[in-house]
Amino acid sequence: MRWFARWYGANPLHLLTLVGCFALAWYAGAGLLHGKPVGVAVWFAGAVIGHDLILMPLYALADKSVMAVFRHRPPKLPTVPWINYLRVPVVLSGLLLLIWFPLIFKIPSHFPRTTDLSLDPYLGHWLAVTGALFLLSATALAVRLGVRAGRGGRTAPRHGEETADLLQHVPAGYPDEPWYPEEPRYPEEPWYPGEPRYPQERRYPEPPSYPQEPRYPEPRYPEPQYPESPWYPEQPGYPQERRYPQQPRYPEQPRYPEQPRHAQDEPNSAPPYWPRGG
Amino acid sequence: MRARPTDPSLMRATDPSLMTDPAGPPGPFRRSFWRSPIRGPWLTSVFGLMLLVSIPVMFVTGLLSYAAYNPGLDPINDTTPGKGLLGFYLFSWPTNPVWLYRVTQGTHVTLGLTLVPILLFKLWSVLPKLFEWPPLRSPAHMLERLSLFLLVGGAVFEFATGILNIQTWYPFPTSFYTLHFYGAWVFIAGFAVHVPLKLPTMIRALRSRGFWGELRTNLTQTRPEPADAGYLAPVAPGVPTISRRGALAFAGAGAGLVAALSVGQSLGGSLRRTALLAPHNQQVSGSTAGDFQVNNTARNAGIIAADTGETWRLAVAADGQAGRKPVMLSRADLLRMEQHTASLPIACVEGWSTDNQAWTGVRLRDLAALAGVTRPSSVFVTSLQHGGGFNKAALSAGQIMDQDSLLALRVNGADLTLDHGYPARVIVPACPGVHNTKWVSTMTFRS
Repeated sequence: MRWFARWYGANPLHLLTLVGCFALAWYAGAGLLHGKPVGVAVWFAGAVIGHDLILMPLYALADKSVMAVFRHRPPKLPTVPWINYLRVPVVLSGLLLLIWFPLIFKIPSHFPRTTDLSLDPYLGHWLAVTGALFLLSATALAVRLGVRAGRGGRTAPRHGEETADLLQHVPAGYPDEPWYPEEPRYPEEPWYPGEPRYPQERRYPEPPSYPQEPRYPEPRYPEPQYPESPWYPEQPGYPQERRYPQQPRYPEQPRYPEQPRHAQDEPNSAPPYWPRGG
Repeated sequence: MRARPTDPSLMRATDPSLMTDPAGPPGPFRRSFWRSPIRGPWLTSVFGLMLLVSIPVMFVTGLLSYAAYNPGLDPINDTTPGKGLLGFYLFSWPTNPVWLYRVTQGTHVTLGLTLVPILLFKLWSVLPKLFEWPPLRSPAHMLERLSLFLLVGGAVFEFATGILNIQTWYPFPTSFYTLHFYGAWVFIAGFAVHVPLKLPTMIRALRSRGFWGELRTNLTQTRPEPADAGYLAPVAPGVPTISRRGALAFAGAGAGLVAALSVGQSLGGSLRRTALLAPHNQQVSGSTAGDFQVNNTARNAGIIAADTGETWRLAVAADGQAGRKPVMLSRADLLRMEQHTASLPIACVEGWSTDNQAWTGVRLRDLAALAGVTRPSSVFVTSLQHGGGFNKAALSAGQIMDQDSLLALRVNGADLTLDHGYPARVIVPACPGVHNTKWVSTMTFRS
């Protein structure tokens, strides 16, 4: 059985489940593809491609573009993380458009003829909902800015004030200097043929710790001398410790999730250079 | 191939050997490409848990809707005759409570719309897995990715077909019923394998961070999930621009907005106009008391006044009695029979429904007795409508014998309007709208 798990990459139950899945999908798929197989297959595959390879990249690109355009402007106006006040109404409005575009754009359909209802109101409704969302978002942003101003932070330059003063009000989360390295320093571990391949819970190196500190010194210890004995080391109760008291213990390596290095003295503290405020 | 810069001033401060990612080609195939600091196993698991609860509800209500058509009763009722074993669960659809189909189908459609943003967020959260490198590590990995194709393709396919259908726009290659029914089984095959395989991962991820703790974590305190938490956790996280609770609220707001703008068409009454973005959100502005939503107008069905005038006769026959002539009834004859009133809603497969309307007419079981069938097993009803998918339907014995099952002649105290099936229409409690045949021309009872 071990050879099977090694070749297949998982235990036999995994295979059994998947075979059941494909049997059912095959049975139902035959009905689905009956008649016009190409058209249906195009629809099915198009569903994946249209969503994962077109819609999502477009969204990500739009988000990144907006951020890039506005981040390089001098911080004249908002001093709170503003992106979500734009993101939320845009995405919610887009979501409604995605669902109801045949009604909103009055795509010719059976609807007016079969229901005796008009296709006219939907575009207006959608625009009204979109307007309301932006209005709500703008109000929320204004309230947030007002609260911030009331707390002593300033929002926008008043008349005669120098804008340089605002540089200290750069919104939290938008530092000019990123706190992460531009390029990852800990790329993925390659897979070596001897390792178990499945499940894919691979261990990755520790994430970068901030700021850069000298690397933890590699402990240098003498090579432990093992006795030349045929029953070493399977023999239980082998008095290794007592016989070789000089064998050193490796110090415990600090692990990231428990406590990062910078927080060893002060637990749960934020790393230095971490953006504060907000 | 570009030469590497040899000038030390052009090189980055970090060790270049560490910058090259041995895991795959550049771009999305490297984990380091995916920067979102909130993406990770925990967030994916929360969205996954929402779908884990909702998808079975969607599936069961969908199967119930298929059963409500009584496809086993007569081939004319079966929109997917090649179903084979997939119809193993079918049963005779009950007639009470009268709101049964209204609730199951309203739930199916409204919940489906509500899940759209949740599904989109879930798919966003697992997008790096699409570009995993190497793409196929082992036979197990290959099969699992194939099942994910069924899962994701099936999900988007089911949502797309369902959403387009409720807007009565049919750009599909074949019948909506075929696509949505078989597509659901393909999707559920992928779902049924995805859930057991990922459940341990989901539970582990959900336990790795407290839910209420995350709800108290604002943007400033948001930290990426540790890179070793799983493939989805970022190895080179960007600056957070939204907290995890913000992302959850975002998805929840989307779901709530879509639901709030569409549920009114299923609730009916004065709430109908709150469904700003749903097909049946308009009050029908008619002239008589019988004006409420329809899904097939007389104009669309090709019914003209001459068909329904004085010459109209209802033929009530008993199947298998060759020597016996069908009973021909005019509308006046029907009105002279014993009249009953039932308060029943109309619920459509597209999710909209009306409040209870007071239907008045002849009981179907009285008509069966008139045809000489005391114990009918089914009745085959045809309409004056030529063509169209649902101009005939078969009703089961339970539906005929229910005391509220009527051949309605009047509604809400007025004669039926032409759009509502004048001169006579079938109305059966808890029956899908399309089986409440309008403009009835013949009824053939089978014993």
